[in-house]
Amino acid sequence: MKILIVEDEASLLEIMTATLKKEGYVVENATDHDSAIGKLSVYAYDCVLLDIMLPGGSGLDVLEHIRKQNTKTNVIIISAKDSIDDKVKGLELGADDYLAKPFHLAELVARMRSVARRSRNDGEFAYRLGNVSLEPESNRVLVDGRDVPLLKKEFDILAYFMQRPGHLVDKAVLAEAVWGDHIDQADNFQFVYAQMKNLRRKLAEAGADIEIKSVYGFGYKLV
Amino acid sequence: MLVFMTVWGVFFFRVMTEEINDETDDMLEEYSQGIIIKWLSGVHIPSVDNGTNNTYYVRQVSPEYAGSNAWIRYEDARIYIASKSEQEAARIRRQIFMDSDSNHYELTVAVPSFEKEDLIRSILWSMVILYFVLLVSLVLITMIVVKFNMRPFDALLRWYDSYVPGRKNAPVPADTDVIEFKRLAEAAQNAVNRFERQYEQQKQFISNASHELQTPLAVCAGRIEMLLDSPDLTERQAEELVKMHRSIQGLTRLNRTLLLLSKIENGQFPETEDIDMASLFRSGLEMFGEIYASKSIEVRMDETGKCVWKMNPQLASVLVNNLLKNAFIHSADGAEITVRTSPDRFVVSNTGARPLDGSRIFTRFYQENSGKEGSTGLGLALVKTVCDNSGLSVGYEYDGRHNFIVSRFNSVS
Repeated sequence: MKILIVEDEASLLEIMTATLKKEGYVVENATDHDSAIGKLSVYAYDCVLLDIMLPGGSGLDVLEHIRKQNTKTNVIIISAKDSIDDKVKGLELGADDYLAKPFHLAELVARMRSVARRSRNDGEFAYRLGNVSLEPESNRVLVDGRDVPLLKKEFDILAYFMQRPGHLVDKAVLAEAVWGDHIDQADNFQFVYAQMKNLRRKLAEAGADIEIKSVYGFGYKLV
Repeated sequence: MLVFMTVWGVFFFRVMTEEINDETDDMLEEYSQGIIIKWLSGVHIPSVDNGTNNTYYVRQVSPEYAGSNAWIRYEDARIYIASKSEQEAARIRRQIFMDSDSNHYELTVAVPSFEKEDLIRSILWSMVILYFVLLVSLVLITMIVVKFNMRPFDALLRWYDSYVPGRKNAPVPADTDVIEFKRLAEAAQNAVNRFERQYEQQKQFISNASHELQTPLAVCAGRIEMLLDSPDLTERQAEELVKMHRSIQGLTRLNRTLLLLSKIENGQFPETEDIDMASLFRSGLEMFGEIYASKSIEVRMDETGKCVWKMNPQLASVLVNNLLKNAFIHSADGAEITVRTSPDRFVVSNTGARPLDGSRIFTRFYQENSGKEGSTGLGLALVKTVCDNSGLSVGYEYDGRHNFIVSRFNSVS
């Protein structure tokens, strides 16, 4: 899959590129409005990560340019301006997703994947790992085709890991992702542990061949 | 004024006395002339007449007496008036005259005149009354004049009272023809403009600063995430990295809160809808109860009537969750948290040993026990800002528990 990252912040561009390359994507860069238009006119990309505030013009113009070309390119808008206006405008212009800075790189990868999958087979969409498949729309988890009943929080945790297989996830980050912004650095993550224990038990009982492992006592990894 | 009035009173008394005496003397003179002429011409008149108004008597005196006294004397004395059978103040004229037989006579003519003391008293009284009337009217007039003249000033004062920095304010009232007031209004307008500009700049600075911080923070966190994924990492290194990552997450959160604050202040949450606050509280209590399960905090919820308010849904959840989080974070293990909701207000209470400084808890970064883990010092500032921008008021009371009271200003809407 070929990706174009349009981003003027050099260091951000660098780590985004490095992360996505490691995931096995072909990545190209553009750092301003004109070079982005130039590259888009010449080459075809499967996905464009687009910053809104660019030197030489708005990312929204680039988006319009892409949509005028009528290609099936997926566009994920990345903007520090996480105002609702920008988001609405971007999605109206045909962006596929919106990611507000600052974001976790794992989040970026997960969004990339889901956008790519969504475009491949519209409608029925699921994360699949081993014999486990998770359907976000219907809130169902299937192991070998059998339904596994999960509580809301357990489902959220599993979904979070399914989007980031093989990545180390900090407990604090997981807590924030599942329980919301109000977690802060509560020094005690027992509530995460309790949910995790139940989730692991349910997965093991259903005979799933994936496992959420504890890593060094401060994080987890899905293997 | 008092001194002036006294001097004036004395002067007035003198002049009055002079004038009255003068008049009386003229009359007495005429009268006595008539009597003397009658006497000398041999017309028999009684030597004593004691009428009501005029009294006279004639007595013979020795030539020595006549020689040793002035021929005509005026004096004030008290005489007995028979018809009234009382003493009365009178003006007396004594004239010594001589008939053709060289007999000396003294004619005493008396006219009852005014009582000096009465006069003094009445002058004094009128003076006192005048004094007070003058005083009162002076004060009244001054007050009215000042009030009238100071209308532009009053308008300016009222305007200052209603002034809220950073909001849309009416222009400084400058509806006056007085040059000084015009200049005052101009100066006030200029000062306010400067202040507004500065306020705007400061707000801009905070929002720009937190804006600009976002990307470097994201990059920093991103790099750590990349490092964490590298396979040749020892546990020790990974732990350090995770700690670093958590600190950066804390910074990011702080930054996000600051950004949220300036967004609320800039009125970027205009949409409102009907929000059931009680249900927000219920879900918030459930969530925090789960997170802080280890504290074994007892939670109670009292609902009186429906608590449905029209406000921005995002702000409503910020408000509710920050109040609850504040209560949970600052509660000791086994404490009790109570939420009471009614149509126009709700109260979040948690047990606490000491009252907090109510004037400072809503300011940014104020923390009673500074450096408490898990609190940015912005939670209550956020609560206050949300309330200020949503037509709500928030207050703090202590009665053995910390009570945070949020109420609607207008219960109609």
